[in-house]
Amino acid sequence: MSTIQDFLGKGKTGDRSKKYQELSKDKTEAEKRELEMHLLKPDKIPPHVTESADYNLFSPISTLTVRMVFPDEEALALFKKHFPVSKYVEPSLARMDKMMATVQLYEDGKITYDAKTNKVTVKK
Amino acid sequence: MNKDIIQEANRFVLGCKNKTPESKGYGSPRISSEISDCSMPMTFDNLSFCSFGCTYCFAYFFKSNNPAIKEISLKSVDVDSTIRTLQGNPTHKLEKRFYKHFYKRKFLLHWGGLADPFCNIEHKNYCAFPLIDALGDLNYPTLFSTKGAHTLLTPKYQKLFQKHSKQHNFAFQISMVTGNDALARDVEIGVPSPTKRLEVIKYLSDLGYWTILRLRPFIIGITDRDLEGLLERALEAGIKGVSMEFFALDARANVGMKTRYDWLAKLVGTPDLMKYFSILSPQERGGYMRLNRLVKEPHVKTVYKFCAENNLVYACSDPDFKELNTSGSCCGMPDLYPPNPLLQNWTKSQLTYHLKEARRLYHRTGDLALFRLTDVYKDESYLFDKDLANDHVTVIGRCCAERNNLTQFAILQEQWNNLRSPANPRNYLHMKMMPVGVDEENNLVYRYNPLSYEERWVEEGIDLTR
Repeated sequence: MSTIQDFLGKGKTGDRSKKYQELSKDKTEAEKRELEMHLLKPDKIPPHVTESADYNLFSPISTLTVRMVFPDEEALALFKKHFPVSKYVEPSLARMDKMMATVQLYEDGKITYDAKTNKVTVKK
Repeated sequence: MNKDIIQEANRFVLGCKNKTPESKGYGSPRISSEISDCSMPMTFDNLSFCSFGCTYCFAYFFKSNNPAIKEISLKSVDVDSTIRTLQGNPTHKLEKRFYKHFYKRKFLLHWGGLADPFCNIEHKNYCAFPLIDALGDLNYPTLFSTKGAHTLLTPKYQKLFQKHSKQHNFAFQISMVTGNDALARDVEIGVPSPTKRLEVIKYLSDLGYWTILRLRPFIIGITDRDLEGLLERALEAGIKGVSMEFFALDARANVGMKTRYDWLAKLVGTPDLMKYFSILSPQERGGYMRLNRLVKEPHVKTVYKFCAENNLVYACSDPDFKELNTSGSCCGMPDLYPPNPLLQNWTKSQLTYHLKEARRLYHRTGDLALFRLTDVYKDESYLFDKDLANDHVTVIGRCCAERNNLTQFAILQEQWNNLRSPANPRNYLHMKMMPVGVDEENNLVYRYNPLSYEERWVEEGIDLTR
């Protein structure tokens, strides 16, 4: 039966193994190591061309995670002033309460943002 | 021998010299990072370091590259607390986790993964003795992995193992890389000789215990010199199985490891061990370089044939030829053990068992087995516990939120589905399992891939249906 190994080695995988066994007889350890390096190099795995799984491991964590990129360090510093950022392993918000409360105000229409003037208005 | 290698091999030994393990801060057991194909993922060590100076020691490679280990501080587990936990009275959080998932159902305890339980520290202090005696009193199934023949043969330990011999709850893997005492002295500095180790195999086998010759690491250029002679002597001593895994080289060599590699290079017969491993190791397996299947084949064939001819369990922990295991445990524990069925209490939720079954199926029927993630990893509560994944090497670099929600199953799933990961089954087993599609849960499905060596061996009359 043909195998992927044979396909890669053009049917010569077994030949290489037999050839090594013949040639290595009565050789010193050093000569055997040299022979191994010449004859027994590993085959490469062919590229996987069929379906691949779309793994989504830390669900719900990964689906609930977003990355924020700030325009400059000043903006980041301003953000960090109001929202606590933890630097454990990689920076992330330590507490979401304040940010979520702000977002909720937007959602409820109590805060509005005018993109043209770049201004936020708070309804009383 | 040159002084440099003696000094280097004794680095941890000298650090531990004249110390007794007074600190009880060593955390063990832990879940093995080899959980994907390990039948005994609960692995235990009673000490943080070992007194033996084996130049190939993978635990040394691991520990000497660990920046968290800043000094050699000999620590012990809290023996009293471990006994209490085994008896059903855990107090701390992790003790409760291990009791719930393992101890309560007497899951096989594997002792000796990162340090030898019967090394010179134990020989001098007997610090593990009360725990081993308690394991005997509890009829707790335990597999020791050791080279410490001198400690096992002390009157105190002889008496202990005689006392518990009738219930057969203990099993022993005795590690050897050669049967030649002089050669062993060059490779394993300060370790009891192979002759002494064969003596302890005979002693324990005569008591009725399950004993395994552990050819690990199998070092090509060392272990294959008079391999047949060693197998014959071990058989005569009473072994019931042979377990093998080939030496692998960590590419992250620090100064100490480089000294060891240079020494081993001379012994195996190559000027540059790193170059030898770089050329002959599949790149898909990453920086922990394991030689390819072709280099290993003649040696595996010798051991496999010997086991078949003498009705021994053949066990292979190496990713190559793992399918040849004749039990589902690559440490060489039997599938069935009537003298004490508790010794069968290891898990089948791992790849070794499923690969073995797939190889049997193919050679008995011609059918090619499919591997699905949820078929391979199932039925084990510890796979889904969020408190038991933090020892895994892959947690490094993950953020806190991920760590807190990580399970062993999630790590296995990530590796299973990521074809770029060195731990992916296709890469790790180097084409023994090949992806053929995805299942309804969008996980990859693999198929058993018969390789050309199987055809050649069958033509030679070697039985691959065992």
